[in-house]
Amino acid sequence: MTSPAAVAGLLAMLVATVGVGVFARRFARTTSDLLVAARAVPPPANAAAIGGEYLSAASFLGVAGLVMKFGYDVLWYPVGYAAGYLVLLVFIAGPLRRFGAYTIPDFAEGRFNSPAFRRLAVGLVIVIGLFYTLPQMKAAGITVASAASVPYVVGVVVMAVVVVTIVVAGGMRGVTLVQAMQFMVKLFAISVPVFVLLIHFGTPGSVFSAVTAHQSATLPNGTTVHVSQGEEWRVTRSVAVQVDHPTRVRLASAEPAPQPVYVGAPQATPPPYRDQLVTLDSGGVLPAGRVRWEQSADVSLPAGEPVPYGAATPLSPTSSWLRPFGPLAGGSGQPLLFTYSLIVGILCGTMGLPHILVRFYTNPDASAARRTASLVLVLVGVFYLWPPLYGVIGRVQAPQLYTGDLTDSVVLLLPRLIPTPLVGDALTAVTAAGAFAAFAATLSGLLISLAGGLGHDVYGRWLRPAATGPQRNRAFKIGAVAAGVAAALLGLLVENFDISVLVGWAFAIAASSFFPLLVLGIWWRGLTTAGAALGTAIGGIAATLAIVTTMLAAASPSLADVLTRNSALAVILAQPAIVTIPIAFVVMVSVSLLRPRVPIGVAAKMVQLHIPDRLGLRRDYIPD
Amino acid sequence: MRRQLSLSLRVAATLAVILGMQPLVAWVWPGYADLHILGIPLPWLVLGVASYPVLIALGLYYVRKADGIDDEFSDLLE
Repeated sequence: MTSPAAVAGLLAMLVATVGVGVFARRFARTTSDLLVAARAVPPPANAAAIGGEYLSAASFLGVAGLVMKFGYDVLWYPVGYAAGYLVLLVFIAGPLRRFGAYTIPDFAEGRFNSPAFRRLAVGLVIVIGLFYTLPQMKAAGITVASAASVPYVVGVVVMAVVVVTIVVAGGMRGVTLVQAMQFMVKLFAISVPVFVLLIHFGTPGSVFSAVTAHQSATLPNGTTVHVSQGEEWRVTRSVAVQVDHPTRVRLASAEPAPQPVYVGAPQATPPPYRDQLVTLDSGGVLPAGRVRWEQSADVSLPAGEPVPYGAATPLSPTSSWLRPFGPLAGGSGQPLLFTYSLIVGILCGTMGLPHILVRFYTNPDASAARRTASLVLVLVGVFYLWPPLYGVIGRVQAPQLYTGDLTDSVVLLLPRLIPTPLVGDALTAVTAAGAFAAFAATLSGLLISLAGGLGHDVYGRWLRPAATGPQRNRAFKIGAVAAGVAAALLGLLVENFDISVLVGWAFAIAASSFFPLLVLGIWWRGLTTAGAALGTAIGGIAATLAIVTTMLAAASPSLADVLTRNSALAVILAQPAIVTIPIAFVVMVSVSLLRPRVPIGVAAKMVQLHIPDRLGLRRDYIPD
Repeated sequence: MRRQLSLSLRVAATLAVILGMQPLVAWVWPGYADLHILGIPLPWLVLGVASYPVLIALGLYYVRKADGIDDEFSDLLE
């Protein structure tokens, strides 16, 4: 169903973003102006801007959707996103600001005097950046699709075009005001609707009792859902449905309802259907088991009955949904290993994301950088209190999202269920605007990092080192378009993956490569160039291969089979951080100890990283 | 630098213990998940609500201490 309010919210946010961007650019015309001017940005404003860029679609939509789907275990995601900032604060914020490197490739090159290492780092930035754009594209797709009743594909393409245009026109980048505004919009858009929802649907305590009242998610009111041809349901208890026109369905009632094979990935090999083709004239009873819709239809589900589950949504009985090691960690077969690996990956991955470090450069000194990071922690901490509540309310009020594998849209849908007409519309517009702010901010930050890597490094340094300024500028823009096209194409493939799971993967790759590089590079003078480069490469490649294998298992029955039988292997491939981070550290340390050739000038570098700013030893390192 | 590093490691270790304990508690004592406060399961409150003030407090503590170490070092040299 189209929601004019949601469309209005999206458009309003688009206009606000471009408008404030144009307004702010009068004061900061070029990048270097911006960098100089930005030294005057006080930590609170800077923190709001960083928060604006950091809180992505995964935070705004994904956490709520994943909580609704899997329950308690998912709380580790928002807590990890926030705690990752604490790790960044205590290990790298201050020294990295003194060093003056504001991207990881800059740090790799500056700390180790190695252009080759820079190339490696740029390559990894592009891999992590692309992984991180996937969930943003998915969020864009479902936001537009649910606001305007268009196919997912249209949503992805429209939003990719919009954000690439903004980036190429230079409208959003680095403008503190725009990013700070987007943080405020997101905080407002996630917190205010929750209060109204709680007024309508009861206190958190009563929402939890409503969850507990049914062992399976149960519809509070009769609801009509749209099914497409080929869609599959798993029916837990036989349910009487009505259809808007005669519809053929295939039933496999005798077979047990299989769980999705694999966490985060859709079902790979459903057992073959024993054909039992039935035509529902206007309605009928779907027996417990599997159902495959052979025709599209609008299907009405009755109130008070457990909802059928979509093929990509695992069954989530209330008792396990509410408890630790529920469908997410418990479903993996290795609950403790899974939980710890997830935590470690998110905690250590934050600092390695390509678009995070840039803004620390806008602090005047290390002490301000630390204060800024601690304020970011306050801001994101306040933000993350709210998304899980949407997931819990969604389980009670909108369980039909389980049926359509649509839990990622729960934040967008819930305000529409508020019975007071104007309030419901207004809040629908607000959450749509917040979702736009979320993916637009992060996506543009990522596209800038990717375009910078493609335009500045790949083109400007390797292909055409003699390129002139305008040529480089054009290369940057072409890079932005190329990255946008790649992101959109990849985005089309991930409709059935969970936003937060995709984000968790980007974190795991960053944690396995850049986290050891940054921590050892800053705190251990004995780290050699060879050790750092090998550790970064091996950690990053191992994590990427593990995750790609997991994604392939969604398409390959034989691979999925192997993983189903070896749950420990499956967990390590899906959440590789707990293995790949130690591998990267061991490689870095052992190679450095075996061939102890520390880079020339390491003493000066360590002084630059660690001597307090007051003593005036800092020299900014700005390449080119 | 050594004092800064030990401060960082102390804060990080505290974080690891606070977060790392929770899965372990839930694992060895399943009754943990049956406790409720105001109708909300205790593990949800501990992880989803109480974590954030703790993180923020750790962050502020670190910033104060780190600035203090920098200042002491600078005073010593000047």
